[in-house]
Amino acid sequence: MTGTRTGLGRFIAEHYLAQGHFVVGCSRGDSDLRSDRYRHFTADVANERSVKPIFTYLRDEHGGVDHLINTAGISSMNHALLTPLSTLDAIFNTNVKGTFLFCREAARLMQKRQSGRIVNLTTVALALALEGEAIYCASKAAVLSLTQVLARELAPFGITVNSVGPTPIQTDLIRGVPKEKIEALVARQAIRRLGEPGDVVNVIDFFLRPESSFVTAQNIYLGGVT
Amino acid sequence: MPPVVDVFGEILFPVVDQAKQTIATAAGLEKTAECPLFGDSGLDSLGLVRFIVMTEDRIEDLTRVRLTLASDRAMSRRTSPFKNLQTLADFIAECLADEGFASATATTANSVRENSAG
Repeated sequence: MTGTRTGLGRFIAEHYLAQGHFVVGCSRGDSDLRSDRYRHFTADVANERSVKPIFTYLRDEHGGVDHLINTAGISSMNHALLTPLSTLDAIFNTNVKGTFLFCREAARLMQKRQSGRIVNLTTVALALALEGEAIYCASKAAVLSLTQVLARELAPFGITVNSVGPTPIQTDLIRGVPKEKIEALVARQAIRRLGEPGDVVNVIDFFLRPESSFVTAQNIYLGGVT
Repeated sequence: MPPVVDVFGEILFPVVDQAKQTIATAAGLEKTAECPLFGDSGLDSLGLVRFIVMTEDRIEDLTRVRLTLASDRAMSRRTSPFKNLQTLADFIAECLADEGFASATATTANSVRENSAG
């Protein structure tokens, strides 16, 4: 898993630890998540040199990887005319480059067993073409495309690739977004409430189930957004 | 000084053996330097992907180095490193040299081409 230090990623990591999984997580900073079945790596997800040792560890210590959940993500709410190019670089590096790099490295291990599950994170902001989120939405559109194309490329190896698009959840990712903006976004959902981390986990659980081996290239938006 | 990696004997020929057992289009592969990897007598596109991943895996088994062979450096070459086993062997030796390994990239012992780690 990527992005396990805080927020949604942390919640998902704790969920799968509670289910008895061994979880290998990473983030830019150290983690205070403690478990005999948790191993944390400090890594920049967009840096190949810092990512590869994670997969060498998985290969050597666990013989591979069953599931990859790419939750690392950053956003920035700003009008396009006021958005510096450095923001685009930062968001695309983490959201797109990081997702691609982890998918590629995980798939290298998964193909040996001819099985694997990859779940990426998109957002309802993409479907809603949310003003102020041009770069974030563009990066998640790229993640959606990656998901769909990788699903086709990796299907011969028994690997499924899907994504889930959460509504706003009370995490660090939306901490800086004005309350009225969040309320306006929620008002565009069929089910008008903030999401809960458990809503996202429910969809990931579905994608990871053995019975979901025929489900790939799918993106599920939460909250009734289409 | 690290031991010299025999790219054909320790990496590519074992991968050819493995590929013949697991990749449907690998039947035509031969353990010769001139053996083409792609095209009429070689692998199909998906077979080549699997062959490269197997090769990366074999390299990691042997050296603990996790190489990505389909790199910018590979893609920018006028002659593709994936043209035949010799071009791939030479490219692997070059990548391993960057990681501090010396490699031999010839199929016979009396004409060993050595690529020093410098």
